[in-house]
Amino acid sequence: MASPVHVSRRSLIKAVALAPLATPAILGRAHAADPIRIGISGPMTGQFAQNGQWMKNGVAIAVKQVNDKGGIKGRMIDVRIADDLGPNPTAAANAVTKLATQDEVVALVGPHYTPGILPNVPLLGKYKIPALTGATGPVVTQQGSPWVFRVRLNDAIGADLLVKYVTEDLQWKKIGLGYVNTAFGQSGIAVVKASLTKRNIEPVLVQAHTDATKDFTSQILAFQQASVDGIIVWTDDQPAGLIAKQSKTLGVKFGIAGNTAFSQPIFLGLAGEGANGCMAIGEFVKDNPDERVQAWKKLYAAAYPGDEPELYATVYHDAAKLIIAAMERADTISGEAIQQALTGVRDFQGIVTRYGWTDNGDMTHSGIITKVAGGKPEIVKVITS
Amino acid sequence: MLQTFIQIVLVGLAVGAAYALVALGYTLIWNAVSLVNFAQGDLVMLGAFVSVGWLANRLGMPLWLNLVTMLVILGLFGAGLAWGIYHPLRNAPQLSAIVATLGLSMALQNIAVIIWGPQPLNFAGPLGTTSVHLFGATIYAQYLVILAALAAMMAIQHVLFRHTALGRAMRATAQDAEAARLMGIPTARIIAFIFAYATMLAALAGWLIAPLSYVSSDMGVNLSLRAFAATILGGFGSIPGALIGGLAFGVIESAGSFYISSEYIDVIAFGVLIAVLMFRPQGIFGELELERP
Repeated sequence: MASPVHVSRRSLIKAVALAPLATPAILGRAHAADPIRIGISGPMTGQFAQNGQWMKNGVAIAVKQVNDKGGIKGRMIDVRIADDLGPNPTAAANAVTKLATQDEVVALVGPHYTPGILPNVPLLGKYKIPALTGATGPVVTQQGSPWVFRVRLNDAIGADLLVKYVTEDLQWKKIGLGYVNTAFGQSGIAVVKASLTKRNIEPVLVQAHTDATKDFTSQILAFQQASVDGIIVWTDDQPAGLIAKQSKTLGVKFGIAGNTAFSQPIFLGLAGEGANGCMAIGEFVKDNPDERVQAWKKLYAAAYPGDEPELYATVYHDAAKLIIAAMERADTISGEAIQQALTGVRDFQGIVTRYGWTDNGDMTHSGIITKVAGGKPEIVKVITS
Repeated sequence: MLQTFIQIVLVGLAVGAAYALVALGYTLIWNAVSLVNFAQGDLVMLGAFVSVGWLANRLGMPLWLNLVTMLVILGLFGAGLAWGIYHPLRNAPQLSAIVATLGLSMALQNIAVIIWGPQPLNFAGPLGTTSVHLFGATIYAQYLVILAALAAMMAIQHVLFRHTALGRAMRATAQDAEAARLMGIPTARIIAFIFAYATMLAALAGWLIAPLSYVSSDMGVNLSLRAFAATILGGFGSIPGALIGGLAFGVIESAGSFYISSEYIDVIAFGVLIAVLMFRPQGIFGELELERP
C-alpha cells in the first residue's frame, strides 16, 4: 500500500512533467477570451489636451456599441491610451512605442498631429500596427507607408480647394499667408503657395508663428500695411483663435481663411466676435442638417451631457468604426490582418464622409468650406476632389 | 509710418512689461537666496487660473476684488514655496533646489489641467476687447492697462523697499542674509515674504496678459524663457536691469517681427541677447564681479 506521502510526490512529479503540455491549452483558452486592445495616441495633458479628450470620447462610444453587442468574435475591445502631447514628435514616438510594446495593441487611433505621426511612420512598420490618423499634412502620406491611414482630407487637396474658392469665388488678388512653424504648417502652406503659383498669384507677404505665440499685432499690422484682400493661414486651433480675435480688436478689414482650425470650438471660443466672417476648409460642422450628423449629435449628448460633438470626436469615432469593421472582416485579429482589411475599404459610410482607401493611404476625398456667422460655422460650399 | 511705429513699440512695451514682472521675481529670489526659480512662469499661469477658473467663473467675484483675492492666495502660495521647497533644501547643493523648481514647474502645469481642465479659458479683463485710438494708431486698451499696472507696481515697490522697515529688511537679506540674521532680522520670515512678493508679481502678470490671449496650463512656459532671457539681458541680479531688460526684450521681439521677419523672430531676439552678452557679459545693468588674483 502506497503511503500518502509517496502518492503525493508522484502526483507532484506528474503535474510538473505535464505542466508544459497543459500551459498552451490554458493560454489558448485565455487568449480566446482576452480583450482585443486598440490604442489611442493623443494629447491628454498640456495645451492640446481638450482635443485628446474629444478623441477619447468619440472612440469610447464606438467601442461601447460593439462591446454591448458581445464584442468581436467573442472578444471585448479594450482601449489603451497614451499621452503624445499633440504636435510633439518625441512624446508621440514614446506614446506609440508604449502602446505597441507594453500594451500590445493591434491598431491605433492617432497620433492626430502631423509632427506627432511623422516620427511614428517607421515605427508603425516595425511593429506592424495600422494607425488611423487625422493629421492632414501632405507629408504624412508622402512617406508611402502602408500602415498609415488618413481619415481626414489631405491638405494637398484641401488647401488647393480653399485657394480655388478665395481666388475664384471671392476674387482675392492680394493674398498674405501665415502658418504655424511646424511640419504641419510648413507642408500646408507649401501647398497653398503652389496652388497660388498655379493661378499666377504670388503671396504679398508670408509670416510664421509658433503655437506659443500669443501676440499677433505686428503680423496683423504687416498684413494691413501690405493692403491684402485676405490672408490664408495654416495653423492650430489656439493661434487661429488669437489671430481672429486680435484682428477684430485692431479693426482690420481683410478677410481670413484657413484650415479646419478656423471652424473648431476652441477657435470659436477664443476668437469671440472676431470669428465671424472667418472661412475654413474642413469636413464637419455639428449644425449640418444631415440626419446622420443629427443622430450622432443626440448619441454624443446622451453619452456626454453638456458637451457637443465636434470634428475630433466625430472623425475618431468614424476611425474606431473603420477599425472595428476591419477586425470583423479580418481572418485573424492581428495588426497585419487589420491593415489588409483596411486597404479593402472602398465605400464605408461614416458620420463625416464616405471613406475609401487609395494607394497613398488617404481615405477621405471630400470637404466643405465653412464661414462663421453669428458665432457658428455654416457650410457655404461642398467640394469633392 | 509713425502710427504703425507707435503701435509696434506700445505692443512691445506691454508684452515686455509681463516679461519684466516675471524677471523681477527671478531677480528678487536670486538676490535673496541665490536660487533660480524655474517655476516662476508657472506662477503666472497659476495666478490666471485662480483668478479666472475659480474667482471669476465659479464665484462670480467682482473684478478688482478678484484681483486682490487672487494676489493674497498666490502670496500665501509663494510663502508656502519658501517653506516647502527652499527651506528643506537650503543646505543641500544648489542644484537640488533648482531641480526642485523644475519639478514644481511640471507639477503645476499638470495639476492645473486636473483642476481646471484642458480647455483654454477666456478672460475679458477690465476692458474686454476695447481698443483706443492714439496718435492715429489703434491700440488694444489692455496694453495700456498693463503698462499702467507696471508703473504702479514699480512705484509701490519703490516705497516698500526704500521707506518701510520690511523693505529695508528685504534689501538687507538680499545683500547678505547671514549678516542680516546677525543684526536681528528674522531672515527666514523675510525670505518667505520675498517668495510671496515674487509670486504675486508673476500672478499679476498672468492676470494682466490673460485678456490678450487665454488661460492655459502652458501659458507660462514661453513667458518664463523670455523673462529669463530678459533678466540676463538687463543684468542678472539687478532690479532696474530686470525691468529694462523685460521691456527691451518685448520691443525687440515686436519690432523685429514687424520690420525684419516673423519667421526668424526667435533668432533675432536671442541673437540680440547673445550680441549684448558678447560685448557686455554682465548685461545692461549688471556689475562685473572681479576676483583678486
